[in-house]
Amino acid sequence: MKDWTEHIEDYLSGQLSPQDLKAFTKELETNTILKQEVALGKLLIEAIEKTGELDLKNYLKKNTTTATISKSKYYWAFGSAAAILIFGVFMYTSSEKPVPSKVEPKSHFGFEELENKTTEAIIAKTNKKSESKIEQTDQDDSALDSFNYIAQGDNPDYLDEYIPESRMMLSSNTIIPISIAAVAPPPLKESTIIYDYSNSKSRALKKEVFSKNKIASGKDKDYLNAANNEKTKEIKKQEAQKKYTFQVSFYENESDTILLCNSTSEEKVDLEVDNLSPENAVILHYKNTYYLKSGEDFYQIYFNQSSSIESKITDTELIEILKGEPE
Amino acid sequence: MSQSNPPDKNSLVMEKIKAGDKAALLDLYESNLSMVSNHILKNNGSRDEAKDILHDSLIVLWNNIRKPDFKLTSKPSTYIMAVSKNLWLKKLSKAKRESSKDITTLNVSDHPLSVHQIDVKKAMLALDEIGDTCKQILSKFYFDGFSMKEIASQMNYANADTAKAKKHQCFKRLSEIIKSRYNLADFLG
Repeated sequence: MKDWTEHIEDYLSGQLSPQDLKAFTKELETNTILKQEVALGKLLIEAIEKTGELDLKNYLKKNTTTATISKSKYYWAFGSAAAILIFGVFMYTSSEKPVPSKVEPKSHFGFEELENKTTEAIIAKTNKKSESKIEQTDQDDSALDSFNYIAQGDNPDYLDEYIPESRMMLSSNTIIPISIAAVAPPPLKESTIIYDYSNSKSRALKKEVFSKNKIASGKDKDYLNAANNEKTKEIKKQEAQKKYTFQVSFYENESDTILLCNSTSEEKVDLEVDNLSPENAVILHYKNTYYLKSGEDFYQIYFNQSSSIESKITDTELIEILKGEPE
Repeated sequence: MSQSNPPDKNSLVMEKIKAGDKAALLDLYESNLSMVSNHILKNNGSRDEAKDILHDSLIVLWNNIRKPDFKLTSKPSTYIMAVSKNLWLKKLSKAKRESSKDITTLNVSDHPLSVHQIDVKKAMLALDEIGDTCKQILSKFYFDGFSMKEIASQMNYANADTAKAKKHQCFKRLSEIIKSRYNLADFLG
């Protein structure tokens, strides 16, 4: 008997003789292993072609930008512009230096205390489950803990229609704009996500509130708690107006990888979400954490996360919460 | 004047590209950029999008030029322009389709490519593990579309048969990597 697996490449590139082709096709009808091998072969060829295409595109990109510059008679002008730009950036960063206290690289959103609290709330909720539903709703009735669906091209009216009334914790009043931008994508495997929290005033306030809370004791504590409540209200009020008003953009590179990026930012975040396209990716904001929903899967958006596989949510209860489906 | 016709610059560039000279694509890029940009800027596009479309058009040319049925009857610039116009039209209509999509209609089954794309990506990663020579020979055959004879001469193999045997070996190595990592039935869904 002939070992047909040796002829898969010829079959796929149309190089089998008519007799062999006939025999191969007949064998393929009954031989499941051969069928699988053929499918794998097709996939490998696709991968080879895609890699070739990517390599060629990268080659063109690399060489057309530099080629244009070096051949350009405006080279001198470009050089000067670059020098001015670099000088400008230097000036900008220098002027930023006197306020290093604002930078908290380990914090996700600039206020860990709050985050820890909400993580506990999630755990508490998942333990308590149904009885806390109404309570949770009250708690969530704030801009801070609101749960937003954010998607390209969505309009709030539509979301109002889509979200069942029973899902009280959903508030649909804020859509973070997502725009598809045509940018030169970074090379495969090296992607960045950058967030900008433009509402710095609100962030600074929050820090103040919670740090006082931490060191306070006795009478002071009561007093500060009251003050904190006031301030928290103030923050919430502010956020209801402005929330996390950073822009999230989807950038699509050649391999259909989606990068979530922001145009202006201080903090650099790595995130690569595989195999998503703008139309099926939805960002959820829940408990100060951002999740990305693709199909039925959820991914937590972490800072410095290089693999979406690691950020995939497996906690079924959390998924239920994120889905916002009535229990 | 005893001079015959000057060598046709266009056909020279095309010959170079056909022979696998990537640098010749850059010449075509330079000479067609303004024309393609004009068209795309006039049709709701940006300069960056124009460059991107031109890159893609050059890749289309690269892929087609070695196909046996490919015959360029016009000037290369006419061809590039036609491909660019087509690609841009496709891109515009895709963007239009996507913006009209409703979120309720989106579910996993609408995107059957998703799983497949993951598989392709895994295979692409495996391709990095089979060594440069192997990657090159597979790419030359499957992506560039060179014949085994051409590959043999480019890569210094004795003849087409030797090159083919090498290619087969490389292809096998690639598929072994995948098979050692994934259950084939699961992998291919």
